[in-house]
Amino acid sequence: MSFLAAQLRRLGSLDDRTQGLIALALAVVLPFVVGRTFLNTSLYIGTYAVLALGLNVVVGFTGLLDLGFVLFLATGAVVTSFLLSLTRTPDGTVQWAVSASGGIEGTQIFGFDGSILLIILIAGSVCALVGVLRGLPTLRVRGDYYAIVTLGIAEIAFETFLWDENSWINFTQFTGGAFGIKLPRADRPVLLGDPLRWSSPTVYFLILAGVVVAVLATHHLNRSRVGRALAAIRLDETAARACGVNVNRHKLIAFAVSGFIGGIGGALFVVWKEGTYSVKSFDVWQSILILCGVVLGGMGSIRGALVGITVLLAIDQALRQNYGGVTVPAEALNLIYGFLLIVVMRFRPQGLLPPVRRGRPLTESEHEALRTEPARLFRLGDKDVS
Amino acid sequence: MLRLEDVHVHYGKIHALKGISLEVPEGKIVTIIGANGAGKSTTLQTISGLLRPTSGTITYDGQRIDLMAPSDIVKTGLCHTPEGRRIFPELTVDENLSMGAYLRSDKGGIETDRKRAFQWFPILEERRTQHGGTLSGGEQQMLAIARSMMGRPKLLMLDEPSLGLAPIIVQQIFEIIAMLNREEGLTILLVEQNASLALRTADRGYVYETGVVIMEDDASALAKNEQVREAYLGSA
Amino acid sequence: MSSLLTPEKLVDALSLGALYALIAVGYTMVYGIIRLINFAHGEVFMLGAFWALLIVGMDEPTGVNIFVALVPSMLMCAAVGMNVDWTTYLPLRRRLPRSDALSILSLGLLGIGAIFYKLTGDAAHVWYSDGAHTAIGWGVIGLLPIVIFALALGEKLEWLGRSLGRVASDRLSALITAIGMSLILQTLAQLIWGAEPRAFPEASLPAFLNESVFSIFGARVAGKELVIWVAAIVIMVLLQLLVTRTKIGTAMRACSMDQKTAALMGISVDSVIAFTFVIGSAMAAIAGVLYAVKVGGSISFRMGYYQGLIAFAAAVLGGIGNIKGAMLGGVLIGFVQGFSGGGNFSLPFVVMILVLLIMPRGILGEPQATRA
Repeated sequence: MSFLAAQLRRLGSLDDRTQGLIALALAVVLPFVVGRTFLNTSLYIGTYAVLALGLNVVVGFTGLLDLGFVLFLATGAVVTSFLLSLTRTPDGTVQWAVSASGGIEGTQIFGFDGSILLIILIAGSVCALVGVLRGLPTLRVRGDYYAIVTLGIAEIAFETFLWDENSWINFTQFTGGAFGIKLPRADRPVLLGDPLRWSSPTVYFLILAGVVVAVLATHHLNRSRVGRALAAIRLDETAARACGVNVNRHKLIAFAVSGFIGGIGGALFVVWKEGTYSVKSFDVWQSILILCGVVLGGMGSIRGALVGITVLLAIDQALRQNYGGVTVPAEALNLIYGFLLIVVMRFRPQGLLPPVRRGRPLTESEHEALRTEPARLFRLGDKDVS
Repeated sequence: MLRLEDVHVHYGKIHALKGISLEVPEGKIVTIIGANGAGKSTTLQTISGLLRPTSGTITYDGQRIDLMAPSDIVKTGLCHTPEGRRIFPELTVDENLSMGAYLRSDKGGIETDRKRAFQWFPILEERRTQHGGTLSGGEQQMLAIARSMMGRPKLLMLDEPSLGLAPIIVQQIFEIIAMLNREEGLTILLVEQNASLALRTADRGYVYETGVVIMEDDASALAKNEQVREAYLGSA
Repeated sequence: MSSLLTPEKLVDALSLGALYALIAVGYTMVYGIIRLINFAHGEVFMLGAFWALLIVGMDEPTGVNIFVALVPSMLMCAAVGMNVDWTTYLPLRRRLPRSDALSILSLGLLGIGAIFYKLTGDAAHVWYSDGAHTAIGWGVIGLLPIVIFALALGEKLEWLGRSLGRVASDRLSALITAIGMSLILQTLAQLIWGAEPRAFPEASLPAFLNESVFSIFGARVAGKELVIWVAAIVIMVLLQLLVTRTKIGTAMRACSMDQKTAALMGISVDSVIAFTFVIGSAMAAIAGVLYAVKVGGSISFRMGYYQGLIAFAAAVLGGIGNIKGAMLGGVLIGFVQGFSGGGNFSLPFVVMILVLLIMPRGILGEPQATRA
């Protein structure tokens, strides 16, 4: 036991790059050693890991509570399905059909090998734009208001996606409405000559690549000037503004990056689901599920987001298994999530693997300076300390 | 009446009070002087239960109070007028005074005390229905003291009553403080930046430096002490 | 789509507005005093309807009048509200052994309540439907003691938190804890009472509720609408009196301005906060029952989520923390909902966001910046 602990500690003391490479190596070997069930679970985890990393940019780095992240999952997924179903019919018109009604005669515009990579980029870009657009009205509001505005916007989108021909715009032609999206077999993307099915190793590596890209992107963002500006905004927005940080611009950058990664997650979601899903499942609980992963792992920490979402979804999957005819009712899962959130927040509000803050400890004289303003450290009178 | 023995307080990793021992005898005015951040306010907050000592004991009237909740400590007759006055800004003067008498239920007694407070501070009677936040600094300080007195304390802890006030107002406030001690028999623990004024008003004084008591003596003796004069009274 | 403005819609809008105002005030009172969103408030509203339903009879009408059932429902909701405070917010306010004891007690009560209900209650669907589910049901219930045990070990487990220092914002933790609480209450309701929407049995509803009482502009006003209006007005007046005229009300305002100084006055801040939860929750219970009376077949574990969210939008719209703002916001959102036909859940949010764009702190919000 102590040997294991010592080894773990040694692992923890390695630098980020070595740890990342070890994790990557393990992830590459994984599909060759585990069975199909585990493979499917790992696709699930991989997709949501991308989403968690995207959410972490806003919640962890910037310190804004986003309760509507599902918007990017939904938008990314819908854009992906739409592009995949775009078909040029023999008479030259372009049509699409995402719902279960079946395919259209003709050639797919995105039918070429490797098109999925392009589509992922488009989905990411659309979501980055959505992120910025969604961010604009929130720039004026702070704190709890941000949380409720994002929640509200996600709710609005959720409703809007189900608008049918009776509304101003018929969104169900893109989203499949209540019946959901079901891409015909022929519309499935091809990568390296392999039509993507969840059981194909190509899908696993595609999603893994998505995770790697998200990890690298957020890691570099966090370490850059922008990342430091975001940290300043998180710690004290007014002070950051006073120090000359362009708060609005940096927030919009964070929203764009977060949206982009979320869009990638949405596109990967479609790949993992083999094009069959319903936008009805993109409700607020999806946002909360992803948020739970980030919080469990430790807000602001990249490895935390990965570990958090993995632990959460692994528990989820383990509880969904059938143990000799015994299953946990699906509703009870929410009960467990609820308890998990409360217990984690109570005893480890910083999460399993909180971000490591690099910096020297305070000197004796700085301690003294802090003491002259003890009220700042005083938890009770939070409100009246200005 | 109030006794602190070897009290240590930490703010996280910061060791704010490093073994404070002090005593406030009944009917006396005791003052704590010292530089910014020496731990004066921390001492008061610890006595009134807002902060927890990491070790050491606080006894008041022979009763351990260091583990009691702030509201229970107020019940024992110990009242703390915090630094910066802390008037409830959107409550009227009358309501502020009622909050001072929160733990009492004797309506007649409260009204008597309210009248008594208005006798000490007639300006407050004129401002009865005004919001606390609209009062001037001096009026707020008067209200803060009056509010504390509404609880009929036996021991009053005053934190920087002169803070940010004009000298003439400070003079007035300190006259009231001396009067409360003399006529009402109120025991007072006074934390004050203005050391000369504090030592003139008090019977006994403690000098703090970075969380420890470096000197304690009769106030008059401290006022004459070379070291104190140099460091805190601004004269050599 | 029929005409936008009809007298019928006006009546409907007024009732919805009154109900949303009742819920919104609960949100805003708690926010005013602890500066935190009580995410579980919508769930209390939902439980209000369910407790009343239990008393008037879920499957077999017991013959109890709905207005009689309202009282125990309010009491139960008040208890749940206090429970939410103790479990969710108290431990984050204070790191004292007492807060652990209270959160153990309240979580334990929640669990015992669920077990007790399962042992005595009607033959509900989920856990007892077959052997396997029974086993799992007990497994889930078995989790409760583990959680309680973990909480009891709280002080021992503190080293986990201490070893790395607390980096998460406390406000964010509290918000997420509240989401967890909301999830638990909602799921418990679903597990215990099922997913099927229900309505109060006819026998429990006095006849005048559905009879036309009088008419305005040619629209008939049913008794239930009138009851809602009168109840809302009476409660709001009482609330205003409570907050401005009584000692506890003044203490509530004092605590919302400066908790530390309030404590120095001998005010037990924790009790005042718990009291705020109690009042808000009792009002939510009234709103829950009246909502279920107005909209038949609406009692479901989801009602707290949707109606709660809309009421929350109302509170934000009016300026969260401000009781009059919540009333105003509630009525406004009620009109938006009423005139749009009621089925649209996104419209209140559109209105809320538009208002926040112009007035970032809501219509009657505090001008000064509250810290995030």
